[in-house]
Order: sequence, then C-alpha cells, then structure tokens
Amino acid sequence: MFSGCEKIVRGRIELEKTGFIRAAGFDKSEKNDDNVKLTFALKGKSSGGDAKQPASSGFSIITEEGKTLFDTNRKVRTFVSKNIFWGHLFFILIGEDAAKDDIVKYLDFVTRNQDIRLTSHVIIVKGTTAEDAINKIRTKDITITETLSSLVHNSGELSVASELELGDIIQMLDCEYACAYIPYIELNNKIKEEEEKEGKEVLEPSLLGYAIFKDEKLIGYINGGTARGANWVNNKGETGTTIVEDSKGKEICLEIISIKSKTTPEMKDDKINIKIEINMTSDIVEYEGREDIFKEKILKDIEKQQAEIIKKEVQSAIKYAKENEVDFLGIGDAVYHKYPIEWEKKYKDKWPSMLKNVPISVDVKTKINRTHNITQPTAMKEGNKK
Amino acid sequence: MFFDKKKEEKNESKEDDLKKEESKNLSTKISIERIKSKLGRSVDFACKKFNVNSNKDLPVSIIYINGLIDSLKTSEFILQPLAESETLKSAETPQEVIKLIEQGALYYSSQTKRDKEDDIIKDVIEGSVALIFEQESIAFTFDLKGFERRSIGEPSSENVKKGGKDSFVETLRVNTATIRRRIKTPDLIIEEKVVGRQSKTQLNIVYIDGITNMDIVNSVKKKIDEMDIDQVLSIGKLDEFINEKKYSVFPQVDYTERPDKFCSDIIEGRVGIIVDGLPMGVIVPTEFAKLLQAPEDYSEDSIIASLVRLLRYFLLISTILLPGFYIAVTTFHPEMIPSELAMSIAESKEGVPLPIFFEVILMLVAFEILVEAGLRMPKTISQAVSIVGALVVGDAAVTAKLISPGVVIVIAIAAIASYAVPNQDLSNAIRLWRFIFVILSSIIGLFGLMIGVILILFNLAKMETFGVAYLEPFVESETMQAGDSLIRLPIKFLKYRPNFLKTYNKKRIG
Repeated sequence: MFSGCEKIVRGRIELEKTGFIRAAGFDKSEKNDDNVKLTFALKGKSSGGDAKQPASSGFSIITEEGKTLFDTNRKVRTFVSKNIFWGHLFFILIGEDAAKDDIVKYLDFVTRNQDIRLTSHVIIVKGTTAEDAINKIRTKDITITETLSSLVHNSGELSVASELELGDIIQMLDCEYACAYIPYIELNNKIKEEEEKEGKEVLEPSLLGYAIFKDEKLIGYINGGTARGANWVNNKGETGTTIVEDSKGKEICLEIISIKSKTTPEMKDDKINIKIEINMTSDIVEYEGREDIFKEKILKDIEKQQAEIIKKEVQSAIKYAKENEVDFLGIGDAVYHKYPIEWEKKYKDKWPSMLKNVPISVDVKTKINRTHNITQPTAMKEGNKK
Repeated sequence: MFFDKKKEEKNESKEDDLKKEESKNLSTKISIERIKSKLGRSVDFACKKFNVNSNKDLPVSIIYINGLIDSLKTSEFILQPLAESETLKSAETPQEVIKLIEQGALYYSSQTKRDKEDDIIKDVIEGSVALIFEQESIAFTFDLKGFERRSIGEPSSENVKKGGKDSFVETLRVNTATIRRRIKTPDLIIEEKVVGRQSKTQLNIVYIDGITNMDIVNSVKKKIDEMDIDQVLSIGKLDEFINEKKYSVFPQVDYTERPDKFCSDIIEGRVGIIVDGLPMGVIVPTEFAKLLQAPEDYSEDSIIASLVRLLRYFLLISTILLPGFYIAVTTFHPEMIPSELAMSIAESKEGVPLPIFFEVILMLVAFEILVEAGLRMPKTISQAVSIVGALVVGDAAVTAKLISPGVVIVIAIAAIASYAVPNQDLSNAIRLWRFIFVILSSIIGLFGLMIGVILILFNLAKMETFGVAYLEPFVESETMQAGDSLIRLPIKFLKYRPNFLKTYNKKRIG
C-alpha cells in the first residue's frame, strides 16, 4: 500500500511531464573500458543533446555514457525535457560486450533501485550492442517494447526460451554452484521495403535460446534442440512440436501437451548418479501420409521416436554443460537438497568442474493422448488399413 | 447573545404568568365573548346563535372554522336534529337538552363533552364544530373535519416493481389508517404528542407492544417532549432534535414514503414517527447498513438481491474513494498504474495546464453546480440547461484541453455511483466526504487516502442512535447477524429480529 513512501518525501509528480522508460539498454562504452553506456527510448521530443530524433516517430532515443549507470541516468536529465521514471521498466537489454565483461556490474543498478520491478525481463543482445538493438528494432508503429513482449510471451510455444524475470536471474547469479542462463535475441536482417526507401536499417529480433553465464561472464549461447533440452530439464518448457516419420518416411507432427521432468541424484558407493526422468504427453496434430497410424504398433513406434528426439535434446544440453563446466540444469541444486552433508563436504567447492565425471542417465516416457478431430487421414485407402 | 437570552427568559416567564391568570378565569365559566375575542379576529371564524326547537328558553351557540369542516355533514347531523328532532322536542330546560345529547340525540360518532374554553378552542382549530351552552358552561365538540386532502398516490421517489403502490399522504389520520390496515394486531400502539408552540403539530409515535424495546420508545418520547420550538413543518426540525450526534453529516434516521417499508420496520422492532402534514414516516433507530437496504431487496430473489446489495456497497466505496484514489496514483504512485494505462493517461494529459488535483476539484464542483441548478430550475428549461451543462463539462472541457479525459471518466463514475445509494441523505454525506478524500490524497497520496478511511471509520464507529451502534451489525463478532447486511439470505434463514434492537420478542419465524 505504501509503495510510494519514498515519493512522499520528494513530492508529487505530474504524469504528462514524466518520461516512462519501457526498455533500456546497458552497454560497455567503446571509448573507455571502465565506462558504461545507457540507451533508452522516450516518448515525445527531447530538447537536444545526444538525442537522435527519427523523423517519423514520436520516440526519441537517448544515449549517454558515464562512469556508472546511475550517474549516467542523472546526466541524461540535463538534456531531456521530462522527468525520467524507471518504475515502468519492462525490458533490460544487455549488449554482448557488457555481458562478457561482467553482468552483475550492470544489474546492480536495477536491483538496487526501488522504482524498478523485479518482474522486468532481462535479455542479452547477441553479436551487437543494446544501443544498436534499441535503435534498429523499431518500425513506425511498433515500439521495441511491443515487439519484445510478444516475443517473450510467445516463447512458450517453441520452448526454446522462457519468460525469465529479473528476480529469477538475480537468484541464479546469487547461487554459488549453479550458473545463470538468460534469454538472448539475435537481430535478423529482414529489411522491410518501406523502411528501406527511407534509407534506415531496420532489424527484426528473434528469441532463439539462452546465453550461458559462468561466474557472471557470458561464455556462449545455446539454441535450438540444446536450448529446448535445457528447458525440459528445468521445467521451463510449455509446449512445442516434434516431427517423427511413419514407415514410409512420411512426416507426422506431434504437439507436446505437457512435459514434466524430475532430477533425482543417487548415491552409490560414494559415487553419485543422476537420473533425469521426463514424462510427457502429446497430440497428433498433422500427418502427411495415408497410413492408418492408429494401430498400436505404429503408435508405439511414434512414441519411441518422440522419446528419442527429446532424449537427444536433453543429452545435448547435458553435453554442453559438461564440456563447459557450467551447471545450468539445476543438477547441483538437486544433489544439495538430497545429500546436504555430502554436498558440504565433497562437492560444494569443486562442483561445476566435477560435473563432467558424473554419469547422467535420461529416461523419457511419452504418451500420445489425442488425435484431434479426425482419426484417419481424409483419403485413406482401403488397402492401407491392413 | 448572552444578554438576549436573559431577556428572552424574562419575557417567557411573564408570558407564563399571563397564561396562569387566564386559566384561572377559564376554569370558572365558558364565555362565548372570550372565545370570539380569541378566534374571531380571523375572517374564517364563524359563530351562530340559535334556539333548540325554536324554543327561546334553549339558546345554543355553534362555532367552527370555515373550510376546516364539512358543512353538509354539519347541517345534516347537527343543525337539522337540533331544529326538528322529536326526542329533543320533549326537552324544556337546557339541562335536559344536554342530557339528551349525551344520551345520543345527535347522531354523530365522534362527540366530546367539554367544559373548558381551552379544549374547545383546540378542538375547533383542529376542525371540530363546537356546540356551546353558555349558561350551563357546557359544550360539545363534533369532529367534522372536511377539508380538501390529497388522495393516496404512488410513491414519488421510492418506486418498486413488485410491491404496494400506495404512499403516505399529508393527513395524519389517513396515514395511521394505512398502517392499521397493514398491521392488524391490537398490540400496535399509536401514541400522540403535540409539538410546536405555534404550529401545534400532531406527531404520532408508532410501535408494537411486546416487540419493541420500551427503552427506545421512552427515549423517543423524551426527545420529542424536549422539543421546544415554534413549528415542525419540515422533517429536518424533527431530525435535528432526534439525532444523538448533532454534527455528523451521516443520517441517523431513515425516512420512507412507503407504508410497507415503514410497517416492516415497525414489526422488526423499530419505532416509527409520523408527523401531521408530512407525507413520510421517520424510522428510528437507524444504522448504517439499513440505509443501504432498498425495499426491492425483499421482493427479489435472494441471490439477485444479495448481488445487487454487494454492488451497492462496492459503488458506495468507489464513489467515496475513486477520485481520491485517481489523484493518489497519478500524482504519487505512477508505478502502481499498469504501464500502458500510465502512458495513455500521460498522453491524454499533454497540454492540460492544471494539475490533476485541480482538475478533479473543478469537475466535482461543476457536477455539484449541475445538480443544484437542476433542482431549482423550472422544469421547462431544465432539460436545455442540463444538455448544455453536460456538453460543457464533458466534451468541450476536454476538447479545449481544460480537463483531461481520464478525470472526466473518473468523476462521471463517482457521480453516477453516488446515486446507487438508496438513501439520498447518505449520498449527500458521501458527496461531502469525497472532497475530504480528494484533498487528503492530493497532499500525501495513498497514505492520505488511508488516513481519510481511518477518519471516516472512526467517525462512524463513534456514532450511536438510541442505544444502537451505527455500524451494527458489524461491531460485534460474536453475536453478529450478518444475514441481512452485505447480502440478504433467503427469508427462512432470517429467523431472528436484529439483536441490537433488543426486542422483547426475538423470533420472527417459527
């Protein structure tokens, strides 16, 4: 109720004189390694300074460098006509260089600030700076916030990334033995004709997977099947598709309805074994062939193929974790909770590096539940029924 | 002021002395001359002398006030028998005539024998015909009221779809008759008090013996006895004398023009007061929850009625708090507004010169002006003015960038919601508190709003009328009967009368 106590001291504000920041980008300065760069879009005109005012938009993009983020944030106010308000910050974009440098250095400002919500989303920009992203992902009508929110909102459809909030990420960074994974976007060069005429480069972002951090530093990216595998293990995946084949090589598309995993460590003769169990159900949503795929034998085959696909994805995520000595699959967490005493004694100090020696088995159980409206393909021939 | 009071007291004591002297004289003999000197100064006074059976030994005077009596009945039941009756022909002395009248020679039901001038004058003023035997110092008064009265019509403001279509009228006896027709138990007691030094208004106290707690009845009577004023021609006079907490804007009595609502409250164990000349009944004690109950609640399905009642409470809260809340979140806590809404409010406020606080105050005042002007205006032009008002306040003010559209919406919701409260007095009280909330929240935001809520709750919790806490039935958790407060349970669950009324008969069902 008193979420604005601090404001009482400062007094009232007027909404129309307030600039709401919805998306802000944090970068490492190109000129000075110690400096930081802050970029954000502000509705309405600003009165000069570093602001670049695109002719056709009501937004102005403001970029400023400074020694620290808060200092820069104050410096911006010398040339911006509005009072900057951080309370509605929804996206924190972090450039690749900054992420490689030290992500905690950049996130401290947003976690310490009482205005900023812990529900805001953090996203890493692959290959370029956050400033670049904010400048280029923006067409006439759609702001970067809208684009990114639909991306994040839809992430569950493919399960390659997920909605991670600032709070979750801080928790991951705080954990000694686990490592952080943050969704990343890549900018694609899909130039829209209209914008091309104006000679302005417009890029489309796509959310492809996770940026993996080790000791607060970015070490690499996972995407596609590997990212999906990580999501299955972390129970972050919602739905997705798998494509299997019938006996004639025709494709069958399955939609994952529910997927749950459980990581159970087992101690045997002082050696630890990890068992990852995945239970999933799916529906048949598309079939390109003409066979009767509802015979038990064929269904079993489809289930087996699907389990194999999921297993492969999970194993690929495990492989990445073992190779890079990063534990983004919550395995350490599971061990710690089941064997706290042994954990303190043996594993705590050398955990991520000893991960590669731990045998991890993956067991996938799949079930096909439904086939939707039609049970047989429309033009199934009599002869195929046998 | 102080000296004036002393002077008045002296004057009053002089008046009292005069009265005492007069009454001494009156107790001795009835004098038509004296009655004439008192009443005869007005043109509507009539005094006629004639003889019974044209017998010169039997002189009699008849006095009445023109217009108050039914002259047709007077000649048919009084004058004709006196002149022609066979029974009276046998009488030779005035004493015999008086005896015969007492025995029923004049056939009219309400006949009273009087031997004091004061009583005669009182009866005549109330619409009786007085038959005076001056020599014997005896008079008879006949209640022959016959003035024009309004017939029972439909209630003007408390209309219900399912329910009685009659309402109280200005004539006291008609009203008591309406009540009697609904409550036929002989335990229904109607007691009379006369209040007002000049107006001499009759005031009836209605309750049911054996149900209503006599402490409440007695304290109502005491309060009415203490009323020492010139006139009781408006309900406010009574209201202010009955209220226990004099300076609270919240209504402490309930009014109704519906006899069915009045009667059901009486049966519940409350005390009703009806004032001659006022087409409404006053119900005490009244608690806050009662003011939010409408007569429809009992004629609708209980689920529907409960939902409607919950909606009423919600609207009550939103009409008090909404303008203040809007100011608080937009000027102090912008982080509480959903991002998109915050942006669009900010955008719509672009170019509006006033701070939101002044916008809200302006709009609230403008609304009060419209309401007040609408009440006073002749009906023929009120429509035109309200259209102009609505256009100016709504559309033009926004287009001219004097007021932002968000504020217009908020004030409109608050204003409309205030009319969902069934009791107009309560809705007026809320209108006042709304300003307090607006000012508080414009100083320190939601914190101020909460201070206001605490203040209003403190104010309400302190109030008590006739031994009943104003916030009943919510004040005591152990004995709470909330079945008919926020919601209305089906009738079969409302087995007991409200326990805070301390009725002698507690059960109403079974």
